[in-house]
Amino acid sequence: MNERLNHVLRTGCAVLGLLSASAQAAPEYETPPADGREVSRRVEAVDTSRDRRQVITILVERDGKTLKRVLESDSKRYDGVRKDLMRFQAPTDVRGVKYLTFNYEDPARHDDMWVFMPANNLLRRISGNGMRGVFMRSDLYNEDLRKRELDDDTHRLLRTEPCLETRCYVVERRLKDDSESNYGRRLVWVRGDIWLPVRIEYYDKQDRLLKVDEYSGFEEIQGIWMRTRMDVTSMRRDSHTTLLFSDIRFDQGLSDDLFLQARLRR
Amino acid sequence: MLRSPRSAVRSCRLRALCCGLIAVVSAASAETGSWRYDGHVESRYQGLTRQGMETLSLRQRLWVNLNRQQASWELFAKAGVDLDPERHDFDATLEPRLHELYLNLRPVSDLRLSVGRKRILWGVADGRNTMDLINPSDNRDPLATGRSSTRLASDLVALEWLGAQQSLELVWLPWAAVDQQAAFGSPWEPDAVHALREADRLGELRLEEADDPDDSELALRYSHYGQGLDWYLVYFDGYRDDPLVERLGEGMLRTGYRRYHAYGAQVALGVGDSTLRLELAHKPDYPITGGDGRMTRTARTQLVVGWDYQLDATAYLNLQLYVDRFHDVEADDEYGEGQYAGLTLGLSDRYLDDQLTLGVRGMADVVSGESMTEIYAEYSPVDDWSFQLGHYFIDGPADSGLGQFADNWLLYAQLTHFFR
Repeated sequence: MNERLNHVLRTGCAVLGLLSASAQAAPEYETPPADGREVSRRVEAVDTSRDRRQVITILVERDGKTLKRVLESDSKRYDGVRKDLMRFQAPTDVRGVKYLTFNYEDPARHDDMWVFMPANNLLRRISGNGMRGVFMRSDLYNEDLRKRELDDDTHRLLRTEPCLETRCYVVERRLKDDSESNYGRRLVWVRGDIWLPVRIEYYDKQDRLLKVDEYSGFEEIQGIWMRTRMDVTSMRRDSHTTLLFSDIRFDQGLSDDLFLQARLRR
Repeated sequence: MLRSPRSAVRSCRLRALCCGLIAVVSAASAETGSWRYDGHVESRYQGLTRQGMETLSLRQRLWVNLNRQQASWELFAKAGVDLDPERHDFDATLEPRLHELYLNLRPVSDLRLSVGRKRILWGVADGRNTMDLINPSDNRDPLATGRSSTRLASDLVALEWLGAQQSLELVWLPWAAVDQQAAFGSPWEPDAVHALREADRLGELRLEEADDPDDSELALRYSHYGQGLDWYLVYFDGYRDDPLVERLGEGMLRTGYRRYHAYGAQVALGVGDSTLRLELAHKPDYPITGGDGRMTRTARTQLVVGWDYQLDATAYLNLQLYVDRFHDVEADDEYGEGQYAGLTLGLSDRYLDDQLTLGVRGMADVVSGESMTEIYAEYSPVDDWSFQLGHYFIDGPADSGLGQFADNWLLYAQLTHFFR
């Protein structure tokens, strides 16, 4: 197993959280949110899909080169746990690698993760360390890609302001325990019409701007609003990462068998 | 190392069976699907460095993976060709290789049947797996990393029951898969074997080298996956992979493969943000060469405890401790020391926006004094190109397992292009 694959194995599982967080619905609210936590709760609450299948293409532009990663992702919700399966299709040396993650809603419980390595037909339990690491040479850190539970953060509504064709709520989120994080805080712009983030600014612990995520390509798919593009620009590195979400299908009745550990082997 | 005619015939038989199955399934299946392939081309240099620079290998490799997947069956093949003008233990400098070819069938939802040539690794530790007994080592090119050996796939039939959080696997090898000895004069030929072969050539004694065993091998594994904890129970009934040298009479020796049993338990435990890995194996009738030159048996117990952790954004540490004990050996027996213990280590860090990885990995046995260390660098500026440069250092007493290869300090440089 080469080192690049090793790197993927150690850190790539984190992408599942991001993919899960991307499916949102747009329920109607009669009253405006009272505080920052309520804005974040609305963002969380609108995810109504039982399961989802999609393809994610990650394009990293750096030094005049473009690196391409392609993943297939399946996700399904259960009581107290969300199960995610990710299959790498590109680049070639990690093709066939699969990740299975059980994300528990209880913040006190550590997630379970397994990786399947096709070269040795080996299924292996891994741990969720390395969250501060860079994801596959992109502008994403692994911690960006994990789903953060509502109670992991404090939420402060800073202001509302016009954005796109609607108004946005600007919420400051800080991790209650930031010992495993690169960030001191995040500023999140949330659309007040469909309750999706449109922009996130990330600041380090010295309050310097590290990078900016911008979301676009909002589409209503099977009655659920979804972002289909995410652009990440690092302030300190001359690089740019684009994530494209395609072939999105909700509530396909994905089989429970997909998320059984032994079935990852071949 | 040369494959014996018998093993070549066996392999052909199984692959013919597998190809037949593929044809039958393909013809019978109304499902549509497409073949997928990818692979790599690779140019690798290996040179021995301890006593002046000596080229060992200049391997040019084309490797292709082929895959077709349907609802009820799937086919995997991994094959290629090696061209190595510097290798002297090949029959020919050009060698086609079929690493894997197997067919998976799913007659019902909970069952999976595999037939063909396949690599199966059973273990939770890194590189040092006490029950990785199904596939033999490749003694022509044995170093996979500083703490693991290269393995060859085996011809087998595997039946697997897949439960919700558990599985049961039964693997049957119709003919035993064992190590082929390195060829006479190869840098990886054990000293004792080389001395015997040389004496045989000089007529000082007669050495009869064993063919592959005729018997089958059997392996069984139960797996359970739980919250924060996976555990496995493993059983193996088969042959010790490397042959024993046995004295038949005055001036007559032979190498032979001997059968034994092995029982193993393995645990992977999530501990906070890291993983603790544990392997325990007991082999009650492990065959060894006794002090009188005849085969004898001893109980063997192996324990590996490992821990891996991401130190920061780019640095990674993997540490394992092991104990390997032979219970009933005498000073003149093979493994006469009776007990080995040591550690394996993997430490790496990434630089240049993760394009460059520098690392060290290896093992050291504190009882026997043998050790192997690999320092390496991998540079991947783009996804489809990779350049690796590294050096192995091998040391230890001349009569130890690794120490006999202490002259084989090895420099390697490898350029790989991936395609699809």
